[in-house]
Order: sequence, then C-alpha cells, then structure tokens
Amino acid sequence: MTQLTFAEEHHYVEDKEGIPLAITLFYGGQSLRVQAKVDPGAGVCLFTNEIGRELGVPIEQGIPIRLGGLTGSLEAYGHEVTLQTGDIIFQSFVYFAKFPGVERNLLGRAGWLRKLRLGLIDYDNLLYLSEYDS
Amino acid sequence: MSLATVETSAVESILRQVEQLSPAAQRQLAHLLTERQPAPDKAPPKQRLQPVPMPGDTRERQWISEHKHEYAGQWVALDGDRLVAASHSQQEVLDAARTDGAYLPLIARIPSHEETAQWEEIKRHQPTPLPPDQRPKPIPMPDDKRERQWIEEHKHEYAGHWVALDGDRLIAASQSQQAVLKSAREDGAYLPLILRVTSPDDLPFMGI
Repeated sequence: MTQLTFAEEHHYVEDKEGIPLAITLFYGGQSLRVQAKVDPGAGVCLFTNEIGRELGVPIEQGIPIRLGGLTGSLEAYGHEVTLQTGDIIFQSFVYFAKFPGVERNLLGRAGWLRKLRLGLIDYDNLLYLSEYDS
Repeated sequence: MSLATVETSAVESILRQVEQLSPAAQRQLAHLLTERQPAPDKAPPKQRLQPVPMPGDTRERQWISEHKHEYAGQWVALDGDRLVAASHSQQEVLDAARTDGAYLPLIARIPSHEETAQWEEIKRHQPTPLPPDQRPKPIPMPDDKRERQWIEEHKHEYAGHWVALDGDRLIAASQSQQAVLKSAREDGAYLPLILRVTSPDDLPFMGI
C-alpha cells in the first residue's frame, strides 16, 4: 500500500460551493490574501477581475483565454504571479476574469495542483499539501 | 390509519402553511431544515455495499493513448483494448455498448485536437519551477482559525456578501467585492482574508 506524507494540514469550512482555502497572491510588490476553491476539475487557476485590479495587474494585457464550463464560458487573461498556500510559495501563471462580478476564485490544475501533492479527507474537512518535489 | 398516512397528511398540511410564507421566510425555513439534518454517519463495515468486480483500465488507457488522434472529440466505448463503438453522440455509443453486452465497458470522451492544443498551451505558460534553494521564502501567513470560526458564526447574517476579515474582526462587508477590497486597503490590517460568504440561495457550484 502506498503511504504519503504531507508538510501541511489545512482545516476548511464546510461549504456547498466547494473546498475553500486561504491563499496569498503577490504581484508587483502588492499582496492579497483571498479565499479560493480547490477545483481539480478546473484546468487553470482563475481569480476575480477585482482582485487583479487591486493587485495592480494590467489584466487585459495578459494572454487571453476563453474558459469553458458545463453551462457557459468566460473570458480571462493570464499573468504570472507568486502564489502562497500555507508555507508553500511558487511562481504561477494564473488567469483573471475579464469582467467584474465572478463570485469565486478557483485553484485548478495548471498553476496550482500540478505544483503540489494533495491529500483530501472531505468528510472531515481536511486537506493535506506538500510541494510536488519535496 | 397507518403511521405513513399520518405523516403524509402532516407533511401536506405543513406544505400548505409553508406556501403562505414570503419567499424570504421560505428560504430561511429551508435553510434551517437543512442545518438540522444530522450529518450522515459512516456506515459500519458490515452495512457497506460490497464492490462489484471492476475491470482494470490499463488496456483502455493504453488504447486511448494510441488512438486519441484518430478519435479526437468523440465518445468511445471500450472493452479492454476492443473498441465497442465511437461517435460524436454519447447516446449512440451508450446504445451500441448496451447492444454489445460487454461487462462494464468504459465510456469516455477523447479530447478534441483543439482542447488538447489549448491544454498544451496552458502548460507551456507555466513558469519553470526554480530549484529549492532559489525559491522565494514564504511570508508569515495568518492562521485562519478565527476567520473560519467567524464564518461559521456569521454565515447567515452575511450570506451572499463579500467580507474582509482580520482574524475575527470584520473590516467590511458588501455585495461589492471592490468596495470590500477598498475598505481592507484603507484599514491597513496585515493580509486580511477576502472572501464571499456562500448564500443559501446559491446553486451548488458545478464549474464555470
């Protein structure tokens, strides 16, 4: 049987909208701690337009992408930021929504999940993390 | 009169009363009832369902790897490395798999060329990981225990609002995230947590 060990344990609030985690984004000397939803079904990390503007990100100068979902799509722009989860910090390419009004931030595969090892016991609202190569 | 009949009658009577309530009161009632539901206990081992034999998917994964270009964007039904059916219509594939009668064939959609190309492009943009000794040092992150406690205690009061929290101190709450971010900046607290409190009216999230 495979055994895994993790550097960090995070408790999270029971929430029908997903698995919330507090993360900090850094861009150009600015930082912001926000709640984001862990979403292994999402290909990328997505943050609200408001967060991008607050950090001073020139959102629409980024790499454009149209993100699709089960029921629709939205436009977003990619930028390189620094992202810290607990004591794990790395450079990451994430996307900011083109328009304000998106109600959640997503931690998806590219930019977050692929840089980590993740363990999850959703029944107990517990999430375990380590750097991928730790 | 049986217990079931009595209960059905009581439920119908309650439902008639609920229909007289305002939409807001109905939502509040729905929320209270949800809250009162006991958490589902883990079933003791003897009561757990017995798993059925599941075919290993090694040969299916191998087949997909070898044929993903040929069947890009299509649904397929695979029985090991035998292709049962392929179509852009999932229904056609399901029908063919049922007719074929194979034991638990794998039903899967092969990503289209465009989807595969976009995923490769997304991965290409990711910065190359730095060696451990060259990585930035993490900054002290506030423990979010008090914030989680605050959310548990105030989730009804601020449902659907964006909030900025400094521990268990509410800095700002608003329907506008921008207003909350502005208040948090003016407050000057060290890394306040910005979040939207889930509303009972929110539908369960299923992706963008």
